[in-house]
Amino acid sequence: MAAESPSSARKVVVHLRATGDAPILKQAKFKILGTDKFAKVIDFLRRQLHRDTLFVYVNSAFSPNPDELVIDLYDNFGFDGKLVVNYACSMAWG
Amino acid sequence: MEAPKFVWEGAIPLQIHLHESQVTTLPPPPPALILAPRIGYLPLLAPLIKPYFSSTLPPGVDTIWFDYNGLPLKWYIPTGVLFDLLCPEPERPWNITVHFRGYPGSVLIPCEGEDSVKWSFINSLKEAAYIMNGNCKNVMNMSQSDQLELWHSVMNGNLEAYQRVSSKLKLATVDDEYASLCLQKSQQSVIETDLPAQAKTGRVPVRLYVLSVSKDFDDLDEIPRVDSWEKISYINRPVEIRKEGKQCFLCKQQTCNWQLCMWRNELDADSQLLYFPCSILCSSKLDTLNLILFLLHPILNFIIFICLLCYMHCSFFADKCFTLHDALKILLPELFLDESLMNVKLGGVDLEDAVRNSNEDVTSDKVVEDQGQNACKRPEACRISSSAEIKLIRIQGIEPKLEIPFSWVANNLLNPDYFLHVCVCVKVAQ
Amino acid sequence: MDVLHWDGTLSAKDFRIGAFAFAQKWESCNLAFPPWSWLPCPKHPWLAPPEEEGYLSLEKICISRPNEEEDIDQISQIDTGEEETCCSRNEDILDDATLVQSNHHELHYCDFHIVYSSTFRVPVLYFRAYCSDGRPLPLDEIEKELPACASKELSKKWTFITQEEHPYLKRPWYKLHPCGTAEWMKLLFLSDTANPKFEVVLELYLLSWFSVVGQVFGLRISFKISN
Repeated sequence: MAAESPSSARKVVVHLRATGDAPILKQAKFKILGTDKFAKVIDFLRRQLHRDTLFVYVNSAFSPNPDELVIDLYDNFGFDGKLVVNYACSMAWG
Repeated sequence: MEAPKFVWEGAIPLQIHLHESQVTTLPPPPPALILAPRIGYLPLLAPLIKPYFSSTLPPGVDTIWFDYNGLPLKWYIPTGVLFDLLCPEPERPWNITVHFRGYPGSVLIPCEGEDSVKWSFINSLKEAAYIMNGNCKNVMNMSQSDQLELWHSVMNGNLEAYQRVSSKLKLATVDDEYASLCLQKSQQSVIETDLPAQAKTGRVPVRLYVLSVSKDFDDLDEIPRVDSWEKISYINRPVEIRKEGKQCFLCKQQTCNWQLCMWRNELDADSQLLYFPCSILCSSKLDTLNLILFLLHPILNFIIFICLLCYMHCSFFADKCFTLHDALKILLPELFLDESLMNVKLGGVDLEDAVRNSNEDVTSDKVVEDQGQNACKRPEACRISSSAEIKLIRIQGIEPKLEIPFSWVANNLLNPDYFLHVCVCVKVAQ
Repeated sequence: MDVLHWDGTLSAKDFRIGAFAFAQKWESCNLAFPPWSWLPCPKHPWLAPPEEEGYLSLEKICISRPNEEEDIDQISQIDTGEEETCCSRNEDILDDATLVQSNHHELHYCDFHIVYSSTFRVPVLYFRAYCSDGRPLPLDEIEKELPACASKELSKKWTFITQEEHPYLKRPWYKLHPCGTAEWMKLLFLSDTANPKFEVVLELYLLSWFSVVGQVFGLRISFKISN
């Protein structure tokens, strides 16, 4: 975790990447506060794609809990100064 | 194809007793007699049974469930499968007990009536679709009305409606080697043949129920009653049909056709009987019993002719096709340990012998039993490993021979959920 | 095996390998939880269990959710029986059954079993929930403990969670429907630019799977172990 810099001030670049048959977003990159929860990213995607159920995951084949902080995810999964977030419209259950 | 028709018309005569704890009137109500479809599920009989017993029930909320000799019956297993599994020696009518109170929720999955049964069926269908097609999208994407129509066709035993809707699901496992052989010139092609060519996984959805018996027995009626589901192991595992280099003979077509004709005639003769209301419900007067036995007639014929068919099959498919024996070997490898010896014999069934046998068999109703006995007594087919041996294999009420092509079994004896439910009784050395 | 052409499924043998790898990683990194244990199971009552058959089990996990305002860990392992703060439920839950205890701080627990499905060729989560006195919880009570996303999913009754027979215990357990699992498992690994070898996939498979499945229960597992 970024201990030195006050995490409230730190922003993280999130790169949204469509996988499977998900549509590509016009704005695929945006900045978000490190103190925000991952849920915010998921909500953003839901609204953009008008879908209730989305499959959202980061690198290393991991799907984070929506309550995780973006900064923590960045520290673990980020590289090249950004956090890549993959999304798909696949059916989770059924 | 006639076999699915017979499967769909198959029924178990039930004699349903109300559990004594729920009898509040004197004299206690006589048992209800119901002809229950093989492919159906017990809770679906509630609309028939409940009014019959309602006057004697204590006040309270009704939750229906059944037991056989104290063993709670799993409602999500088709009625015919329960019968085949729990009555190795068929008991007709089948005496089971109905309860409206005290649902054994720790043993049985709760049932909220028809809706639960419907979804259990749909989920089973989904599972089968996944096995056959590699995904269950066709079932998931089924329209509401198709889903309902499919369910109603199962509830009402309407095979035509079922075939119409289910064909949209494009579920096909394997080419039926028998069908393609026998019906290639026939215009009355069946559902399997009008499906578009598609990648078939060759995986067959199978639910296998293995009853283990530790006591030795010679006759089926010596098998001790099943008092716990612990005695039954359940294997839910697809069987992949291996087809390498396996072709069917084409030269026996004539025999096949002859045999199909026989079957068709028999069916016509019986069809009147089948128009009797199957959901007949009345008290146990003698004439009712007679009626039930009367109704049983087509089932017996069904058994005879399926057995006949099986006999015919085994003769010319034995060493060429992936057989029921091969399938069981995949599912229960531990029971086929020392079988290298038997392959030779299994393959060597003589066609002439089989034809002669089946001709003789037609003459008597007794054949049904005999054939069943034959199938389980044949030492080379069923003596399997030193510690355990298969005594009985039952699918849709018949005891098919191990040499039948598995594709035929899979395509013809399946339940509407596209699963092949196989009951096996294994004798285990103590 | 080429991961690009992999369909997201596992063989029974792979499942066992993956299960052991997962249990090991879990034990070293998820200290807040008890370890998973592998329970070998015979196929038939008369057989000794073969190597591959069995399932993973994690039991007595507290799933009671805190009030939204409280910012505390939602899931914690039950300790020596002392009541933890993770358990408070909404004060105003009305219970129609008048005789049921009205202890609003009652803890709810879950047992999780990861069972291999030969049909879907993927792991399937079976679970059951109960109160501290052992009384089983019906689905509508479990639902109250689940995060919003999961209870929304529950409105699609029958295609998300249903009660089915536990394949080994032969009792009614709840089950998460596995129809989509292979598909999203494939996606999870395809996204990785590294295009890992199948052995690597196998090492991570159950962890990746559980990162998705655990969310249904609001489980927060340490993602440090995935790196």
